[in-house]
Amino acid sequence: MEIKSHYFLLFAEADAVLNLYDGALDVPIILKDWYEEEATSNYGAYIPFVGTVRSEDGIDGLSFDIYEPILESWFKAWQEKAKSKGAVIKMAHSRGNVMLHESSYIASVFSPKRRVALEFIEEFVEDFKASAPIWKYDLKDGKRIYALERSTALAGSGILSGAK
Amino acid sequence: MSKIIHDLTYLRYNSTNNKEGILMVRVEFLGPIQKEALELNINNLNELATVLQEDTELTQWLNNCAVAVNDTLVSSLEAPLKDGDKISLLPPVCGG
Repeated sequence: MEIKSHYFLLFAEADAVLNLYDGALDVPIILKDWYEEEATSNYGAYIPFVGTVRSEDGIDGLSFDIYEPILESWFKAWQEKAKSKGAVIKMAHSRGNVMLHESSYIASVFSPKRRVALEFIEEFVEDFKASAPIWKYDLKDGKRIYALERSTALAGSGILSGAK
Repeated sequence: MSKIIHDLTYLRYNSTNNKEGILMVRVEFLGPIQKEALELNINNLNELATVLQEDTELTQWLNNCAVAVNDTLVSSLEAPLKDGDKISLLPPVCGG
């Protein structure tokens, strides 16, 4: 476990990392750090996905809440899946406000050959959108508005609504 | 009616209650749900559903919230609860 002043390392096992930052991600630094961590690990492929806040619907930026215990267990399960294929996943995400054209999310896969990394990055990012316990808000006109219409209900949602 | 059920169910979690064998769980509302945590005397998630359905603050959330017990998502209301369990309500997510 390693803690630096500007971010909190939530999970680390072998070469896997899950970093949560307050505010926008420093993309060049993170990608460089991850590259250097694995530069001599004999991975043939390093495939990063960088999510950037776009200007749309008059927003000034986005804001995020994260529930860390479940995010950590979700990430750990993915790390095990990656490990079984000889791959490693690294992920960084923002807490709080991230303004236009800044980055809030980076996911990367390292693998011996490109095919595993290409497949993993797609599966991982899609499941991240559907399962990671992170809540997004639009920053607009000085307000923080929950982005319900762009959100996905987790598996098992609604079980409390029907019981008598 | 809502207030009566709430008052009957809502008890402070303390050692005296534990000694008497009363089961207390903590219920947390995550993300955009603007609600303070509750400490309740309930035996299972069916009882939780009954309590929360009486709470008008939660009307818009129960249909789309997932439930975790001690940070593990659950798919059934039948699992028994034990003293000190943490229950979390997780509304729809959107990371990235």
